[in-house]
Amino acid sequence: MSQTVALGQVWRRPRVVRWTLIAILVAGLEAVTRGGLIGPLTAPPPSVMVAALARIVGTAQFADDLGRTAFTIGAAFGIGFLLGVPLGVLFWRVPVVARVLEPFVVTLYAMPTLVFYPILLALMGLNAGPIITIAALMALIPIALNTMVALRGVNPVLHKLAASVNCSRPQYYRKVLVPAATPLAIPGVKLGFIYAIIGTIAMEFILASRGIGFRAGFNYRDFNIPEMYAYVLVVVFLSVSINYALGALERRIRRDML
Amino acid sequence: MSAAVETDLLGRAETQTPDRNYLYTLGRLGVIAILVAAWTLATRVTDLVPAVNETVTTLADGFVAGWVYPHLVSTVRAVIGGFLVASLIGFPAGFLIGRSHWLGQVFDPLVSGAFAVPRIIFFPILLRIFGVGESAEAAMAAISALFPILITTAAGVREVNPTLVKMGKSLNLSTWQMVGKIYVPAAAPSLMVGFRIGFSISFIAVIIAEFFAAKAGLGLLVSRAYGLLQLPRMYAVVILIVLIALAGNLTLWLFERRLRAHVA
Repeated sequence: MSQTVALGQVWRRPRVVRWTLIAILVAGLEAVTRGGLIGPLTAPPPSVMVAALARIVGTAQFADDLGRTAFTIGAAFGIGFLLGVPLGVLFWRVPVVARVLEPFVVTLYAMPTLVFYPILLALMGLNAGPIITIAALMALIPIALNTMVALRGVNPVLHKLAASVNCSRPQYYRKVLVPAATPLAIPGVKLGFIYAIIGTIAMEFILASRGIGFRAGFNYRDFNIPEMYAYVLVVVFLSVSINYALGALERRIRRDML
Repeated sequence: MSAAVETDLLGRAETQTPDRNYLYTLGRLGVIAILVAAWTLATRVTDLVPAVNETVTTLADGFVAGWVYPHLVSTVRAVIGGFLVASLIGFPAGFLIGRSHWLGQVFDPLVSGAFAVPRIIFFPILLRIFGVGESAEAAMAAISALFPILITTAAGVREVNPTLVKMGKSLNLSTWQMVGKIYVPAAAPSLMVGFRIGFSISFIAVIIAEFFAAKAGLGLLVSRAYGLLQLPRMYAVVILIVLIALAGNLTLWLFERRLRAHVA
């Protein structure tokens, strides 16, 4: 009897329900595509997508695209981080600047920043520069805003303590502000990384000649439907697993430092 | 928490007075002036940046001669269509996920995972389903706006004061009364955030989609003007897109701030 109760509980576990739902969706798609309800030019069966994915992953072209995309994301995030953190510190130190720029920063979130792409292309030339610039701009905003919020959230007692022990300015930043603000600023850094990914893939998709995002659009135009889906799967898999890894890292940092 | 109190860098409360707000507005106008000045400077340096007045005249010509209207209408229709679909699914689903602990556990990882995926990557799939046109763009906007609306709604519902919920239950309110009299008013600021973000993201998604493949739309207009090297026209449409995003977002943002001050 206790076993039936346990089985009933297993079926209500969120993780089990979640994966069952996903499995039903995939099986359903397999059924309607095999049955001919959805034509092969709209969507191939998931098994065909996975087969195409397996074919692609080993190729030199895939390695080249992945390397290019990874480099672009890394460069965009690096620039966004190196500019975003000082900007956040400035917003915190000089609140007037933050107040004046607030409406602009808020609308930058709402702006299709990619419309600046042709302008950047005209100014920088057809290379990775315009993509990196736009993705860095997208990554910069959440990093700067969260740094500001984190520094504002630092316990006021710590400022007084630093003053009473006569901290020098570098000591004050290094030993007081960095450890106190890091756990609060980390979500913004994570968001910045995700935005760097989103910006890079989107820009590659629209206008690039290399990269994972480009290859998905390229296969669409070339009517290679299974390959197109395979690249979509690559993007989904990569972004979800990076998001998951960053989430784990974030929880760890918050636990260790808070 | 009063909205008028801002803390300065030492954590001291700093009250805002009306004449300081006036200074902030002045500063913001200054930022715009600097941007326009930088643009003018860029015109002098490179041939690839048309002059400010030339761009403005081209934009005005777009409205006078009418070449802007069909594209503007197409973009607006796709944005509104996509946003409506995202709202019709996102607000109720977010409400259910926010209210039920179990549903939250089931769907939260899926929702936060989906949030990290660059949604534009699904556009080729939508093109295969709907064909090139407004439906595919609207579907793109719906997919993009759905999750932000869902997440902010769920977060807003979770933050509703439990005492209010208990009070509603003790008054034997029906489900619809609970939604209309307790949850919606109490979560209004968060719902408004979802509304604003959802709308901006729909707009962004449609513009990006139009860059890739479209029959009409402002994004198509920009990429076409760029392809033909009609730089004044390209800059004019870019400015129009920026102004639409700016005006729409700031209006909703100001409304949201007033609502927040009203509820708090």
